[in-house]
Amino acid sequence: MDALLLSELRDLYIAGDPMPPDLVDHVLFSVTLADLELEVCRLTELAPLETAGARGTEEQTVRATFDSDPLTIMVEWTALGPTAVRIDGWLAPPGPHRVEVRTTGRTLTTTADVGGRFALDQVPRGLAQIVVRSVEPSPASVRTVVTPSFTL
Amino acid sequence: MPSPSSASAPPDRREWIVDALSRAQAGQREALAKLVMEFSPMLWHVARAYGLDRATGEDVVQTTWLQLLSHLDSLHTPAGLAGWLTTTARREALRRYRETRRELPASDSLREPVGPDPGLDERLISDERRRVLWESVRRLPERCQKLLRIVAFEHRPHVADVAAVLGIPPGGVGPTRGRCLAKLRDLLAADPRWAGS
Repeated sequence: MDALLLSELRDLYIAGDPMPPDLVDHVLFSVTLADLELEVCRLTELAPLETAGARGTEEQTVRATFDSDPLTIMVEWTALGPTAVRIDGWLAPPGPHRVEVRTTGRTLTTTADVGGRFALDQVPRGLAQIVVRSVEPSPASVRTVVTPSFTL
Repeated sequence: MPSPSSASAPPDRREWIVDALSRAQAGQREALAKLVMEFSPMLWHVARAYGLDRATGEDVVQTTWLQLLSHLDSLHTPAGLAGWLTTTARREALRRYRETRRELPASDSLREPVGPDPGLDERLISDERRRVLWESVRRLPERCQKLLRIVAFEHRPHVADVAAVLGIPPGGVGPTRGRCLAKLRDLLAADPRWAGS
């Protein structure tokens, strides 16, 4: 019987390809925002870069790009030791929007410059989420853009 | 784990979901958390059935829930919620699947290495009958493996989307489903370990 075989197939995939155990936690971390009018970004790039550090040592920098219709957010982060990173970011199209980086401990905020650039120092490692709030909300533009959570 | 196409939930389950929905709409995080725990596995399997790697599957599950926040107020039933979630996840999965096909592999990416993803970790299968089933499934043409995984989780799948993933015309989905099931049955019938169990 088809239904029986398909249900065994279903059980097979449930057993052999279970949902990652921390995914629910990541989701719950992402959805704590009170603002329901969200534009949701998708992670479109995540890659390590190699850069030379100040003293010629190589520091691992990671780049991530998050994409949505109204806004693209690109960030690069570099380790400042075992517990914190420095984040450099760019918003496109550029604008002096408020940028928040939520982490499990606290939320760091800054404002991008007119070119869309922003930077944050001493961002705690671990789970993070970027929220961009447009400085001048209007009926035609989206007020809040949010990324899924990711790990610094 | 709920199936995306289960139209009627047992009364207890239906009650708590309806209750959790209205409390989540009122802003209660605990209620939203319960819904996230209940329905995320379903979304994970939809994303994986549509051919996404694990990292992309996780991303799709996250963005689906984030998008739900803007639509939460319009949903009042378990079927409505499951339907909205599945449709959103499926559309996003299909979109990503198409993009992956167009992209060149990024060798420096931190995502999983580009290579065959069997879609399942054999080491997690201890049940003998399931092992036998998996061995037969693996011997099917890739198109059949894809299709059967989708229909295993969605009894009445969205024909156009399935066709897009398989690269066949929509009218071919039904017949292909029949052929693939027949192939799988033949492989199982030829395996003496299957008949006995």
